[in-house]
Amino acid sequence: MSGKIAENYLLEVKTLNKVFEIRDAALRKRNIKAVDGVSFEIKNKETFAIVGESGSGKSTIGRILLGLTDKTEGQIFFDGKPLQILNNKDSIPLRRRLQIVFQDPTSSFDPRMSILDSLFEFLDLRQGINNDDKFRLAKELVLEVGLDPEMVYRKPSEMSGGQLQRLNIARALASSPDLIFLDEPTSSLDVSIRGQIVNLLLEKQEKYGITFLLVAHDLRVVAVMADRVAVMYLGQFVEICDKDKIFSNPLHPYTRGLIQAARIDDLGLIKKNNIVRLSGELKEEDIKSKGCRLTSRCPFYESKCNIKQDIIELRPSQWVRCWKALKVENSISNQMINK
Amino acid sequence: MVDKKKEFIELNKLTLVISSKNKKLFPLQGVNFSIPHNTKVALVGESGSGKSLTAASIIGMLPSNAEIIEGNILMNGSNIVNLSEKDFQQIRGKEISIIFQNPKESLNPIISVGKQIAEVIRVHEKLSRRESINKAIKSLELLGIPSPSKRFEDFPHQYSGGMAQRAALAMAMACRPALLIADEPTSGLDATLQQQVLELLSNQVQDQKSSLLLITHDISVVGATCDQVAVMYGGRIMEFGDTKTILNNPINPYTIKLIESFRRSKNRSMTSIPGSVKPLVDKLKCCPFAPRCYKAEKDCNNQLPSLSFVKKRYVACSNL
Repeated sequence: MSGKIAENYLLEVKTLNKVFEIRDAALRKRNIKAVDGVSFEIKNKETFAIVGESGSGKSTIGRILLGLTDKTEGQIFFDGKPLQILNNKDSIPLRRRLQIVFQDPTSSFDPRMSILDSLFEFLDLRQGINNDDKFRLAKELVLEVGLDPEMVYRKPSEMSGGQLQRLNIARALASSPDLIFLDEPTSSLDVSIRGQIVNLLLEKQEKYGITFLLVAHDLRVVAVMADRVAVMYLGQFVEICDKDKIFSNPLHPYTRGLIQAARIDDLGLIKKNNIVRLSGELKEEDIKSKGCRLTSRCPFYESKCNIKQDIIELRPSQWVRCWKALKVENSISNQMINK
Repeated sequence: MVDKKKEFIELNKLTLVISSKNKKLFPLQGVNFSIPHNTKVALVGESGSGKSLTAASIIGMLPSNAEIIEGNILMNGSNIVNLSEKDFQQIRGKEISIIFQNPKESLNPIISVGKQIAEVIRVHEKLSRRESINKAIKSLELLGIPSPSKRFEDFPHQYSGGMAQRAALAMAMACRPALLIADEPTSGLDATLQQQVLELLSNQVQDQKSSLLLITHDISVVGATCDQVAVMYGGRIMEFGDTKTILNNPINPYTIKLIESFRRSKNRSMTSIPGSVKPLVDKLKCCPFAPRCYKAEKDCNNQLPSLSFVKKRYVACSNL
């Protein structure tokens, strides 16, 4: 995608496609391209965030990576080697190096087992540890994520969402992974405690040199954790750039609309001019569009938008899928000047 | 509160107990706040704060194992706490309406959307079938639903999420209620759609000169939408008053930290409140936020602070 020689990339994804076959309400078979031509690279120890609303396809990317679903087309390279479907014997060493933390804090723990027993199961992924070591490691992991080691004897139902999510992180750390896919790790938690989990993740990333692929729709989490951000809409990346640029100078109209609607800088107190308001809502049928998929909602739409749009490096390290992006930027700053 | 005559709805020391098998919970612990006429009020709280149960109390939709053991709810001066279900049915839809997070909770899946709205109008305004159908189509149009006469015939599942919420709002506003309660109406909707729905809500309420009680966990939607805000924690109101006053200058430490959490952090760590919410298994003897409060002092663990009028708003805090 970039034409550069691959540097220290831990993960490389090239033109990833994923088509789901579904039956609609009338029981007709339909193909939905949930991931369409997605390409990106993640450097070692970096945090790459994919931002998008539900229905954008962002979770599907991570699930393909983890081998939870197979790709339809495209190539994935992990540490320079092609990543195959992770359900055969050869892939066990690889499985250890890639981990996942899900959105639902209860999802990784068997409700009938104590936390300790669950952790034992996860520790089995590391070879050559006897039971005594497992016990010690389990308690260390729990301490590591800021919890009282005595909690290991409890069952999941006796823990809060935040505590369980810490344990999910402990579980992901158990195999000393190189990369962790964080799939909306804080979305099920109250906003005032999201920071506990975010700060914990950052601490562990620093300590162990872990690479994160973060999928999130909470821009506050992205603002603190990400190095680079990709914005996704209906299966395609529409913008990729450094984190700061996303907030200070986004170029794609969708990114602009998203940042503007998020109210995370002024809590909606300042009456904004709403220059970039996206109308309507995300519609699955827009996936069929030959050109830009935002046409039914974009305030800057013109007929040229109906042709296929490629994602282009409009500014250094800022990739945008919109032929009109720079024109839009110009007209917006003119409008500001004329006020 | 400030001027008793002006308040449309008043909650005074409202206390609730929920009983199950061998456990009791006290999710509302002496709630005091009010909703004036023609005013938009937000009730902000996170999980376990009691905000949804407060709304349910007002509209008589508490679960069967819930009991109001103290306090009252006054509507235009009369206590509505002990009204029968029959009495509440007269009030619901007519004086007080409610919409939920999931619009499908407001809409019957097997009746066409238009028919449901028309029925509400017909029953409450005693109009003919034809007249109520016309009014229903008009209300769909007002709520920005394209081709309203055609969409009248459609069923809820044929509406997209955003459209369904508009239809639910149309139904809730059809009889011009004096109060619309919106319980997390935009949670789960994407940011750009949230903005649209909240504006619609706000405009509808304003046009009809109704009041709005917006129940939300998201303090950032309050600034653009509501005149007043009440912040709730542990079954108590922590701070209550004019929105701009509170958002620009919060006094209660919980409010301060909550607002901070919702703002984008410009450095490499994110604000959070340590610890977690504990279930309210007994009546409070001290401030529910004390165990997690950065400003907590000895008094905070010994007394339950009441709301007092400080710096132009009501705030409950032992350490001001």
